[in-house]
Amino acid sequence: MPPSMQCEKRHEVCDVWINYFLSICLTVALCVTASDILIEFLEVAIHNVLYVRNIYPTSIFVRRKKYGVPVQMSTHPYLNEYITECLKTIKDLLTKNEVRKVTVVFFDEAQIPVERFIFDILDLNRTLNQDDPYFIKGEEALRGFCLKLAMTGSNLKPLPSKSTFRVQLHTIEAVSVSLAEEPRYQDFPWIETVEQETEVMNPSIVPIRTLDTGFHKLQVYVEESGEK
Amino acid sequence: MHKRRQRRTSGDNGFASWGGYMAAKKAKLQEQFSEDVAKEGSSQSNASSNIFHGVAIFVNGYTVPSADSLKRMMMMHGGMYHHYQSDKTTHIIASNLPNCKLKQLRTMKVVKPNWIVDSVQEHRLLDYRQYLLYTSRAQARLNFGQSEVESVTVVQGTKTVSENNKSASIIQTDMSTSDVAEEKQLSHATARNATEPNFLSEFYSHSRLHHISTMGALFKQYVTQLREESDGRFPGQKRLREFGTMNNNSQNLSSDRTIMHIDMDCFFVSVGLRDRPHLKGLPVAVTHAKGNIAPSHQRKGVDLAFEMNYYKQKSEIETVSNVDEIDSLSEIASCSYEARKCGLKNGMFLGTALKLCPNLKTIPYDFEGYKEVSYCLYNTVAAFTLDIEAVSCDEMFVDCKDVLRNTCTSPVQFASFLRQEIKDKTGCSASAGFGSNRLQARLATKKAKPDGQFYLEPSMVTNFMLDIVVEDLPGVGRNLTSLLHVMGARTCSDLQRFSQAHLQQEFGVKTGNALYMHCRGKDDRVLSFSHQRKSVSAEVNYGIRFTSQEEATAFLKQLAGEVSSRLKKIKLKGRCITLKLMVRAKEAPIETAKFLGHGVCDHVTRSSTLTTAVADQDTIAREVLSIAKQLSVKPSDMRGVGIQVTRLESDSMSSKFLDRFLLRATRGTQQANSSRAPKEERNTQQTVRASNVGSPVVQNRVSPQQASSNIAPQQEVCTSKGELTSRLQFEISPYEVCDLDEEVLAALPEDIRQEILQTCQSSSNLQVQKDEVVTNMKSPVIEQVDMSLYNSMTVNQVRSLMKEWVSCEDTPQPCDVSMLADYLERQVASRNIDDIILVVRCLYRCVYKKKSGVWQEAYHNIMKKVQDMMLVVYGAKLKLQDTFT
Repeated sequence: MPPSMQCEKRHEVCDVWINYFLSICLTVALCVTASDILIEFLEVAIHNVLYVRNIYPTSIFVRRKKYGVPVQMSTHPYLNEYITECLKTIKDLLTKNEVRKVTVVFFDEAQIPVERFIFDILDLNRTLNQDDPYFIKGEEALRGFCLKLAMTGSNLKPLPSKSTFRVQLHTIEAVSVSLAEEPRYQDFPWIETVEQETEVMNPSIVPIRTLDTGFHKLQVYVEESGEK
Repeated sequence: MHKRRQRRTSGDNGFASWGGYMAAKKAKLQEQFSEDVAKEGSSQSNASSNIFHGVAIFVNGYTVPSADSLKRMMMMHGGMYHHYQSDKTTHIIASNLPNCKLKQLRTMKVVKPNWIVDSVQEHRLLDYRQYLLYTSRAQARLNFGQSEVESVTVVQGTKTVSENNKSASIIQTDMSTSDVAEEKQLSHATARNATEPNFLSEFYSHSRLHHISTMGALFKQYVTQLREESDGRFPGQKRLREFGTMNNNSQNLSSDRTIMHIDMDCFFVSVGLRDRPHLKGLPVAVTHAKGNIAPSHQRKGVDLAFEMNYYKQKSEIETVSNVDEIDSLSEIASCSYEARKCGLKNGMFLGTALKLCPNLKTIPYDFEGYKEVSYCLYNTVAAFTLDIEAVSCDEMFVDCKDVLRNTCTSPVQFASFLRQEIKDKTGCSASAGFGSNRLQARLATKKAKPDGQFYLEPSMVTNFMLDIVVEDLPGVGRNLTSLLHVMGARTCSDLQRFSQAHLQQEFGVKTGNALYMHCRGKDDRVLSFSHQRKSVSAEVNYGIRFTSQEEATAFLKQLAGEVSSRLKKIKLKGRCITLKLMVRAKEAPIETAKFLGHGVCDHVTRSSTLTTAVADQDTIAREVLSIAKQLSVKPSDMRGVGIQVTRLESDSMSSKFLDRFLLRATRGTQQANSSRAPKEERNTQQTVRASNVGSPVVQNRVSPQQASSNIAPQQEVCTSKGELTSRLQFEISPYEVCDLDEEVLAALPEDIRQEILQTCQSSSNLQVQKDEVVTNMKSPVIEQVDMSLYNSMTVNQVRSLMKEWVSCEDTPQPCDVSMLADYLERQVASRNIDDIILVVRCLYRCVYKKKSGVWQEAYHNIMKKVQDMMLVVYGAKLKLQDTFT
């Protein structure tokens, strides 16, 4: 549900507390908004990364319009479920500001990481950017990313056949403990990675884009293994 | 023939059935041959001999005389003729063999057909070694009993405006001998090839075409010089006025533009006839040979058939046809009108010409004479007007509007007066044509020839043009002519039927338009009186055979010296130095068919632009050598070398470029000043400007919004005196002295002030200093100042700045490099990789285009710093292109 709707509802219910309530509500709503936008963006991004890197047949993707540009969304239920579950966790962590990076790691047949799409969250802003009240510039940045991503494939060597991918989160140590204990994640457990599953051998960086939406500053780049 | 050969090879490859058949066939042919021999012998017993006993030939490919006549000769003189090559074949006869075949036949003796012919004539078996087709590695090592003189193809060169197109012809003699009977023009001690020290001077002093082609440029320069030195008085005009009043018939004085075209009548001939009056009225031709060579004198090792083939392919002109072996191949440079009546044309081979006109007299070249007469011609015309456009040594356009108006004479009067004067002074006749534009004038001259004049009056133009054939239009050469003929346009009247759009569609916008205009007698090309040389170059593509890098280096130095001396001769300097190399094409054989020629080549051209115009040998040589180093062509593969200097400036102009810089800089600071900068800050700006001049790219960037950032390092600037003084030396150019703010001067430390004042007084040899200073520009001050420049820029600005930087400078200054590296490092530190990749890719492209080793090195240095920083910040390097291949 869009935050603005939430806001209005409460407004109708308690008009006595209106001033106080609104201010709290706005803060909450904005906090939700920032991570919502990011989650939404990450969803679009992950789907498109998978599409661009060609690890699934293109037939499982359908074209949708997002941020005013065509994007590709997977229609495969299992894949979508995986992505959604990942994003749920990320969203939870984002609200607590406990995520540093989200990475989509591609492994070759021998489970050696060959490529890493890194969404480096540089800054997560909770206050609305006064310059961009309608989020036009923010959307512009997201649109720019989508277009840039589509071009990135040409700068990278193709993935080896039978590649797989995983979503990895870079977070603080306390989080990994809490994730393991949290009952909500029991159906979708998170495992702490070892270094050889995260580090790309002899990496070289291909920058994709640094986005500044006003709510968050995000740098996206690819680390490509030299031994792909 | 071709098919048969294929079969033979496959037979050799072990196809038994073929082998059997072929063996039978060969045997049968052999038998037939012996039968024929018997018959021939009985019928013509008187002519037969046995000189070819034991010789069995196989004729490969096209030969002169034909295979059949060779067969007959062999029959008559006791030899064998094989239709197929076999192991019994002793000699292969060929006029021309492709390389692949040559490889196949490596061990066989490949001999020219002349061997047979000459042997028959001499009635003895001659030594075949003198007739070897290719003196390739295996064959050349033989110790020839007699001399062997190799001849070099003469490439046709017309009188071109620039020297670039000149081609050279020299005759090469073998070291040991001097059997150059015909070619007295050339010294016997000709340097053998480019590795020898005096090769270059020999080359240029002996090349006829070099002389002729440079003359046009020489006289253009001469006219420019005359114009510069003119005092505005024309002594000839007075005489002409008297002449005009004498023959007092004031005809219709044309008020509009009148262009005169003067062309000497068969210039080379008439100059030659000055001291040979007895030849007047006879058919005369100028050529370097004396006539046909007696067969006994024929130079050995000349492959006539091959060369004829080459000429045929090249020119498809009738002059080539009907040339016998003994005919002279020297070309006729010019022939008299009497000779032209017999059908002779300029450019014909002498042999052909002699057939058409057996009593043709030949006279040698007389370069000094041509020069003398040309100068005389130009001086004569210059006495009337200086509105001259020199075309070549014997041809010019003159704008006679002023002359005619000043002297109140008609074109016809002027022409007859001028022509008489030319004739009196030079002893040679000239023709003159008048028209209202260059085209009309030129066509009129054509009509006026010989020794006449023709005024194409505006009213006559339309009718006159109708009968002009398209070949006579300027810019219509052989190719265009044939195209026009295909279109059905032979004369201008035909051509006038086509619409402008159609012509433009057919021949391109420019040519189409020109044709459309020209065929109507219109021509809007104006005369250019003062000629500006665009380029000066020296090229040698003959005799280039280096065995080591040192030889190549030495030769490049020599050639640079030649270019330098040419530049100095015309008092010019150039900023862009181009090295042109002809490199043996990969598939081309190492030994060219033409002795010491260039053969099939790839052309490689690289240029570099300097900050100052230069003309001295050392700088040019250094530049050229550094380009050559980057190209890294194997010295042994070089076949032609040329150095060209463009972007010429006259000696006196040389500081212009610098001046322009300073002017712009001044403007920049003035703008900054207008933003109400306090006095002491102006001081800083002055010095900032100084530092910027050193690296021109940065200098351009000083704009008002950056001025504030420039102000920051004020203290530092003022304290680092050492740096400052060196830069100030060249910063102050004469006119800038007045710009110098007294307060600024006063604010400067004492020693610097003295320095400035001194420099103001003696800033004549400005650019020399500049050159020095530019090379040692590393200074912390600049870095700091310029860094702030970079920081206040957007990525696009940085990119365009960088493009300018790379394109402007030949070698990157260390300070600029470290400045850029620092900038990029900071960008990495602030995680700005999106921008970095843009900048770095841009730099890569610029450097790639530059093809300069120094720049590539600089790029790598910058990238190393960036990558190190990337490793620190991101733990990974950027993905970049790092090779320049």
